[in-house]
Amino acid sequence: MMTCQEFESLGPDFERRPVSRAAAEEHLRSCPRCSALLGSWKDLDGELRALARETSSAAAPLRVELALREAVRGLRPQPRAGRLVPVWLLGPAATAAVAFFAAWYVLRAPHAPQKLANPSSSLAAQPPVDRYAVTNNKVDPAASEELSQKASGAQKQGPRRNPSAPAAKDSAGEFLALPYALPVTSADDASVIRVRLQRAALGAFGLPVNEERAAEWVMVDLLIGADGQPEAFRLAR
Amino acid sequence: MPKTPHVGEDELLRRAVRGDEDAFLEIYRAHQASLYRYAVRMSGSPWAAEEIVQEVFLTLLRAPSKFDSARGLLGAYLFGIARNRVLKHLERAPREVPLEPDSEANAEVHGSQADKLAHMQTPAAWAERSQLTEHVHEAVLRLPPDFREAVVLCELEELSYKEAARLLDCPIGTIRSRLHRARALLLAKLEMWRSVPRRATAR
Repeated sequence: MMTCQEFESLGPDFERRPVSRAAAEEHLRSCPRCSALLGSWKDLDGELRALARETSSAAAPLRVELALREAVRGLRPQPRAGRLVPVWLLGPAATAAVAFFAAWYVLRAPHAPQKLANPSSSLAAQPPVDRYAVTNNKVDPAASEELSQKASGAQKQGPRRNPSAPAAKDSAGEFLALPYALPVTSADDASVIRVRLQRAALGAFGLPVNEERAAEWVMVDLLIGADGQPEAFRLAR
Repeated sequence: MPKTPHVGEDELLRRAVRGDEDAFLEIYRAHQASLYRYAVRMSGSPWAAEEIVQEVFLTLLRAPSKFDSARGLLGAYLFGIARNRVLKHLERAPREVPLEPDSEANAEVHGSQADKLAHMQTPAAWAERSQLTEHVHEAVLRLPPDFREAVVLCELEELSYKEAARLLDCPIGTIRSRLHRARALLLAKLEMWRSVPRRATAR
């Protein structure tokens, strides 16, 4: 005969154990206390099953999945820049670059800027000046005419001595005086050199500049005085 | 809880750690719900459960080599991580705030009230039933963690004793013993709850 203590120790699982099931059922028939206890166990199982049902559809919110997907995307291998160009090409490319710059340097050396005493030879000179910063100026028409005559005087001498000078053919328009220029004294003292400027730099000469074309390069003739300072300028064709 | 083996978990994991979202989602969707339920039933906090689930999968992504398929299923491995996180959470917050019936997060866990009402005959029956479930849940949350874990796995997740013992890495007799004591504690708590309103109304 099973005791109350033995029944309690079996718990509600006694039904799953064939060996003890018969003894437990016999005990229950004669013990109202243990019958009530079995009823409580069954009620509790029912409550727990109800709780399980209510929470059975619980799942992590979508934001967890989104955060984790973001983390997974971060794990993707990033393409390395070094692989875009084969390593074996780097040596020849570097050699070619050095050779190119060396050739460019040698070729540009004869055209280095210099002060030319002879205006005709100065017409052929095209120094590699990129930008010529000049303060804002106001153009004086009288001075401009005088400067043009001076420059034409300089150019007239030029073609006689050097007929092949390119600037003599390309140059057009009148010279415009720079604001700080001194009065012109003698045409023989002047020389004209051609420089390459960005259009944006022309604004400093008082010319209107189209912003869309400000980065374009243009050729400009500068009238250089005896003191070596530019006195006037004009656009070359 | 892990119930069925997933073919190619190794391969899926390898692809996931290389940034393959589809492979990761397959793993995530196969395991997240059971891990979340375990965490929320153990902690009583949907917010904590959410954080725990996220940490579990981040741990998997950061150190995939720690999972060895020869030693067990991925689900069991993930459950082990989740269990550690849950226990740490319980250590930090030994007296977790009980679930509030009206909280938004609680509604997510327990389903909408309209769904519940549809299964009840009257609003009064629904209210009584809902209150009882809340008390059962609260009583489960107040169990010692070992006992609570046995109830969660065997009663709520409906795992066999053998499966629970394997997950918790303990003998079946330990699971049975913990469940037995947990039932006794739950009965005592619920009986106490039932008797208090009666005494209060008797005055």
